[in-house]
Amino acid sequence: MVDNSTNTIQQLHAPPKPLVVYGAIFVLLFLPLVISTPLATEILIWAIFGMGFNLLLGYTGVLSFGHAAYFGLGAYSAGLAFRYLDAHLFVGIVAGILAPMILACFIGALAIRKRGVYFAMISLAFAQMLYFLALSPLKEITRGEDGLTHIPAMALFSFSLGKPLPLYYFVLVITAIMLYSTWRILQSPFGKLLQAFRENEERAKACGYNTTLVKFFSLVISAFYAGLAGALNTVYLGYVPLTTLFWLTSGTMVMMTILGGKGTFLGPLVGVGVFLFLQNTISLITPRWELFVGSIFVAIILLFPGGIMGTVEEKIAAYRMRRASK
Amino acid sequence: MQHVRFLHKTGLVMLLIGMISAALLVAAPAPASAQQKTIKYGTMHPLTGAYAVLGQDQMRATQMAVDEWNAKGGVLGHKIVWIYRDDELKGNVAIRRAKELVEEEKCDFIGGTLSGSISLAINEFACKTKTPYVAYCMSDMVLGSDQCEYGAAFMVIPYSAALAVSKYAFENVGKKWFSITADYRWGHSLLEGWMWQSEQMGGQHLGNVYVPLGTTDFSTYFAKILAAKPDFIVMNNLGADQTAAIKQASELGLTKNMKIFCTKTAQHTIKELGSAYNENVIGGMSFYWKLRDKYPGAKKFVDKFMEKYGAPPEQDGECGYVATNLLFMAIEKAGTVSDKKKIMDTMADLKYTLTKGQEYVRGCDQQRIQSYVLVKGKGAKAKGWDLADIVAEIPGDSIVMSCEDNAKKLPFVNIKLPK
Repeated sequence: MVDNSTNTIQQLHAPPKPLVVYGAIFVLLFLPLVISTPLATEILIWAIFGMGFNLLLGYTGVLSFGHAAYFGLGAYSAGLAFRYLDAHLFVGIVAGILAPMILACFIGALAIRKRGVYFAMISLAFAQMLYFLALSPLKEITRGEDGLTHIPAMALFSFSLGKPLPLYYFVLVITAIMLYSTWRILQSPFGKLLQAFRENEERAKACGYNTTLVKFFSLVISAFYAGLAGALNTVYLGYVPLTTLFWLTSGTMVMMTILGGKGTFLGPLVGVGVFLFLQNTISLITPRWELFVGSIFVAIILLFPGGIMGTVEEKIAAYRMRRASK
Repeated sequence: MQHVRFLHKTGLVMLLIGMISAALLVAAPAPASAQQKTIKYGTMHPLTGAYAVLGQDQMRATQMAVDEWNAKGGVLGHKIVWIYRDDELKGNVAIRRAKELVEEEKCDFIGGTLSGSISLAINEFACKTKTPYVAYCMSDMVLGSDQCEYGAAFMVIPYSAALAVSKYAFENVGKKWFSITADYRWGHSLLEGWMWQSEQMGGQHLGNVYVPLGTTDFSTYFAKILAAKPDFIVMNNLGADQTAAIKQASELGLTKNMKIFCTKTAQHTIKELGSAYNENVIGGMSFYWKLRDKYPGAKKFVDKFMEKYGAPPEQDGECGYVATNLLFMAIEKAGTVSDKKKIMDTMADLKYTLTKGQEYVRGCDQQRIQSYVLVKGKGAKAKGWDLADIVAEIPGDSIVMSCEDNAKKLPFVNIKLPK
């Protein structure tokens, strides 16, 4: 019995099988056949954002309530580069990744020692600061609440990304790379350290690990994902709405991650997919969609206390355990 | 280890198959459209959020216009297929909706939206995809570099509303004014209009207070305003902000002897305020249902709308009705459903009489030139939908700048807003 229960825990926290990674990418290849391509693209972009957020919240156990800052800064940096410098697609995306990473270094250096709600509040404060900066003092370049418009249509070499399907597959390639990298990160010693830290910070410290540094790098990597997602969002929308920096973006991300199951590999992807799909589809049927979507979320949280993927994984592990004990 | 390698292999093979099929998917030519004789019109409205009531009005009026055209046999023998989407009053959602409408639903024309900033983004999208777009909301999209040959604006430009209301105020009430301005782009645009007109007509701006969106307590502002002793107060705000401000002005007894001008107001704001919106409160609208006593077109439109939906249309509904009609009139006159450039060229300079007097869409910037109506409240005497009386209708040509000025955002770009 003892052996079995250790087995379960090992299975629960084991990195996902490679089949899961490939399977997820395989399914995503056909997503545009099932739902509208713009929606599918949006799901991928938010999934990248979610993977990074999950790394921080789910695997490291640090709640940032200001992730809109990294997403929005990525979106604006890419947008500004495209608009004012006529930057190449990849240059813009790199700008969109670097700026949030630098910001994460700054916020991390200042606040990463704080735990729990204190860190959440500090990150929220920084995010709101950026929001108001873009709204008013910098409105000459950000165009304030009108959002950053006049971003030229993008092309990959000579291949136009203006049409929905090519854009979808371009974003999918990046999503696949990020999905694979996340998988590798989780298997690396660094990934193990993140989880060790989440489970018991004191013990990890006692083992001689610098937990502050681990948290710091986790935040910076998370900002990488968020910035990349922000930059891709700019390419996809051809416009940067001011709301990308608003706290509601952070809140939505928290919601999506918990819905999908924080600390699970596919959680963010599933959470984002379910969230956006429900919102989009039900609003086609009734203008009272908020009521239905809200009720469904409540039901999901009640039925799947660990998030959709969290509970599914638990069930699978329990099933395996039962089978093994027979 | 063997096991893992096997999984790797199966995974990779699966991926390869997937990629090939996906490549086929991208390469496959779009299926030839089976339905030959239809045109598709897609609209976006904020059916949820702060302006859901107005969004619904836009949607209903669009439906009415489409039904009327289809009853006549469509446009050039083509049946009109109309679909609408909720844009949630959010920029990113609106763009997703627009993409879905144009790229997935293959809409030939798009319209709607109720926020100036969203209309700017959609206008740009329309330009990139060369899809004609008729905007239903007050918008700066005809100004400066935002101007685009595929976008037409059917509500007045924000500054036009300010010019119309200020003209009436300076001529009929007094010269000394104080303003309350919602602290965002739209509010600032209105204030610029007021300040410019004030310079032209010898007005005296005693001061301005910027109020954040969602403010509920205006009492401190009113104390400051009363100390300045203006002839009238100007409100450059909307919706819940306007309701709260007028309600408090009324509670303080201000509406008893001082005039208040709302640069833009709405029927449901007046209804909500009840007796507080009395004859000293004068608001501007691009359409008020009582115009039906003046224009036969308005009577036809208002009566039909009331019969169908049980309430008179808001200005937003009227705007949607006119925009939808104009789109189809332009298609009919151009004699083509596919040459979108020609349709937009035809729409520009199209003269028509629909819900008000004769109007036109100006050729050089695709802005509908229309009158602006001033109404004064009836306070406690209001009954049902009889909420206000029309006091003036300012002709459209007098409240809009030339295309050359609009392209340079003149003269308002030179106005220095107070801190």
